[in-house]
Amino acid sequence: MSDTLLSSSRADAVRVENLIFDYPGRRALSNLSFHISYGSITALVGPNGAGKTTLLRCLAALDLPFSGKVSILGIETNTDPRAVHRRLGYLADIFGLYEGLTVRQCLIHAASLRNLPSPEIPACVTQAAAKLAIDDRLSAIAGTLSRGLRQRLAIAQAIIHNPEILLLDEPASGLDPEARQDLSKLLRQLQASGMTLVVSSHILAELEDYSTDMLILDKGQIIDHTSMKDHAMTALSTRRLVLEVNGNIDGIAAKLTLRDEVSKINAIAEGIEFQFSGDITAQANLLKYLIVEGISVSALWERRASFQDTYVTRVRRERGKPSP
Amino acid sequence: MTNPIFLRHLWSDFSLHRLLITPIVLAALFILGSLTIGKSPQGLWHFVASTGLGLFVVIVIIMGTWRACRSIPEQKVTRTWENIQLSSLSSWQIACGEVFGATAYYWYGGFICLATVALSLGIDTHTNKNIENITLILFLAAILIHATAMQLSLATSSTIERMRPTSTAACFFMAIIVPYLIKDLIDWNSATLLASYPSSQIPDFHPVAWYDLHLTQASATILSYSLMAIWALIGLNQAIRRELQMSTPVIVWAVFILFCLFYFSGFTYGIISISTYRNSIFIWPLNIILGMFARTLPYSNESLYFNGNFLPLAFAFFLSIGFSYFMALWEPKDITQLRRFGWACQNRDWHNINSLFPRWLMTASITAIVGIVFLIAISFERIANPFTLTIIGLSLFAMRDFGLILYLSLERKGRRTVTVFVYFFILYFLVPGILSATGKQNWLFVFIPGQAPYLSAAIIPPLLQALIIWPALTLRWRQLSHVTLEGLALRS
Repeated sequence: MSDTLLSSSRADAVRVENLIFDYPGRRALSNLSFHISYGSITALVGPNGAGKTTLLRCLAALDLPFSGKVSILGIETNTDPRAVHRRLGYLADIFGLYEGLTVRQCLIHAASLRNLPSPEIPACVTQAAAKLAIDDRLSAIAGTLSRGLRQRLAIAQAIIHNPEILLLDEPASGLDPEARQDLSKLLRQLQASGMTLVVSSHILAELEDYSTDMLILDKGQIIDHTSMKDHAMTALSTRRLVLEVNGNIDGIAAKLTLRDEVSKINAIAEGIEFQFSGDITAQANLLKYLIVEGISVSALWERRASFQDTYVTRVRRERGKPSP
Repeated sequence: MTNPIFLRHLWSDFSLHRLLITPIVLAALFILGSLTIGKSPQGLWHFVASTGLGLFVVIVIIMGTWRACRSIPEQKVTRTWENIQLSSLSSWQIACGEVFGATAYYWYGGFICLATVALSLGIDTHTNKNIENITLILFLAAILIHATAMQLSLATSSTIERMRPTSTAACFFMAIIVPYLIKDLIDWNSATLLASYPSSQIPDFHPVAWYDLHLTQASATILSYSLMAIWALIGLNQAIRRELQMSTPVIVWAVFILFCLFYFSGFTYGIISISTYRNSIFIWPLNIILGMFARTLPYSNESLYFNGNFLPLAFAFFLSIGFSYFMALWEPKDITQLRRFGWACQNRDWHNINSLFPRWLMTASITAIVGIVFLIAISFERIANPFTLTIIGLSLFAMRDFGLILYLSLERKGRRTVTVFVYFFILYFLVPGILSATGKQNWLFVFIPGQAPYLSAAIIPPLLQALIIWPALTLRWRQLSHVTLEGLALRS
């Protein structure tokens, strides 16, 4: 397990200890331990079959673990699964809608299932529909909606009771780019309203937009759990810079090695790439130094490590393959 | 506040078109029937009442039960069941909402039929008043069947992703047969009692005896259906609780089994002549069981009498063993659940032991207790020996069979239940058939319980077979468990 596992200094909305889940003859989750802070958005990523859906189902108390503990808002799923059900929202990867009902009926039904008081239901329906921008479709039959609208309706159903925790399994799959952007916006809004979110997805670029933490699973095990802030800090403290020059790069590497902040120098197609541990002032000083040394610098830019890069690096490292 | 699940079923199943067309179609059927085949000697209104009850059976009991079987598995396939699982409703609200909501449209048609029955009774006072009882019996039977069907389909769909039509059909027939079996037992009791009356004193109603209590046939049926409908709803509630990951105490199941054994055995209490069993044509399932008893008796004369109190125990034993086989075949046997149960036992985790205790194992344990009590009770009877051989033989064969069911259930692939039935067909029909055809009937005791001439013949063959099955089962268990052993180590 990664040494970057989040420390439990903040209050925990989700706490998982030694979670083991078996399907007959197959281990799906192997001794997972982690915790998720209140008000965070955790991106749950991993290859197909990594155990993401199983983990989300265990968090939702839809499946009970073979052993270990899952605690949601301080309630153990083993001891009081119904209390957990009441306090969270869950959107499955393949979600179901009552195809023959109208959007309004679907939302009223979802609100009634959550035991919301009858007088409050119309207001909750309007609010949830407005939040998901489906308030103009309340009379439409659910079965006639487009993929994107169906997704919105399903999310509206999941959040109608304002849950404290929202678990979303592949919420962006099948959505067009505009709908994905709207989804990102919505998730940020929900987080801002105090909700804790766990989002499983394959589309890492979007997770990067709104996630505060990243949990990488592979073969039922956690291979990394890091906060995006730490990820950004790490990226900031050891940045990879690319130097492009007008002319030959011979001898430049030797000059760079004289600088303390520079390490791991590689010649690449664009010029020279190296690791730089200094801040922005140090970077300016480096540029000045190179120009003074007579190097014809055409560009000096930073190659940012994306969410995708971190994910691929971690998974490959776990599998003993070289990083790309 | 209306049950939201019931309300959703109403929204889904009722449309203005369906609301209007249903009474129109039913009215047309009544008119067509009365114009063509309704000119019966008992009059038009008798025909209307009978047709109303007939249509009630078709609409509510047949079509409604099929719907009850399909409802929850369909919700699982369309992934809407998770909404219910995550709801804030109680398991009772879900159970009632599902069982009455899924069948609401059929009840709508059924109530129209019952309204015509009431109308015919109101208009024609000569119409058979028994129809009132029949109506109530059908009403209760429908609730019993729907709740049983839904419960069975829920248990079946918990282990498979998509329920096959054959599984739905199995749930349907299992549910439909329950009130039939109860009615058969009551009818048989009534016929047996009537046979014991001197011809000059035969009463003008059908009497039924339950222990020392005397009832009419109709009131016994209504009472039995009411009680079993309550149990069916309790069972459905337990199945829903399991779906919601709530604890499902095995004690509820144990109480149900003990209730059934006590209640249904009451209908065999005080029957003192074996000949009444042999002559019974009203209850074929009971005849199969009791016929085996009759075969074990060394006496063939019709005047064999014995202590009337021990027959309920015998019946309870056979009923219990029937329940054990049913549960061993029907209950999902998932190695993960079994290992969780094993782990709970190891740690004396009573909460989980109570919840995870396999129902077939509980039933088998009750069967063993009833068997022992029965053997003690008859130890002073002159028929003790043949009964002892039968009970010991049956118990050992059951041990072999449960081992075989478990062994085949732990297969990773294939249609396991079908495989179990194939093995049973070979063991109970093909091999004994070959033995009989080749004139080796004396060897039937090796494969059929109740055929052994002496104690060692009753014990050794099934015991040897069980000794082959159970080590093989242990081996398979270990093979399947090794991948997850790490889990136990971590917990400890």
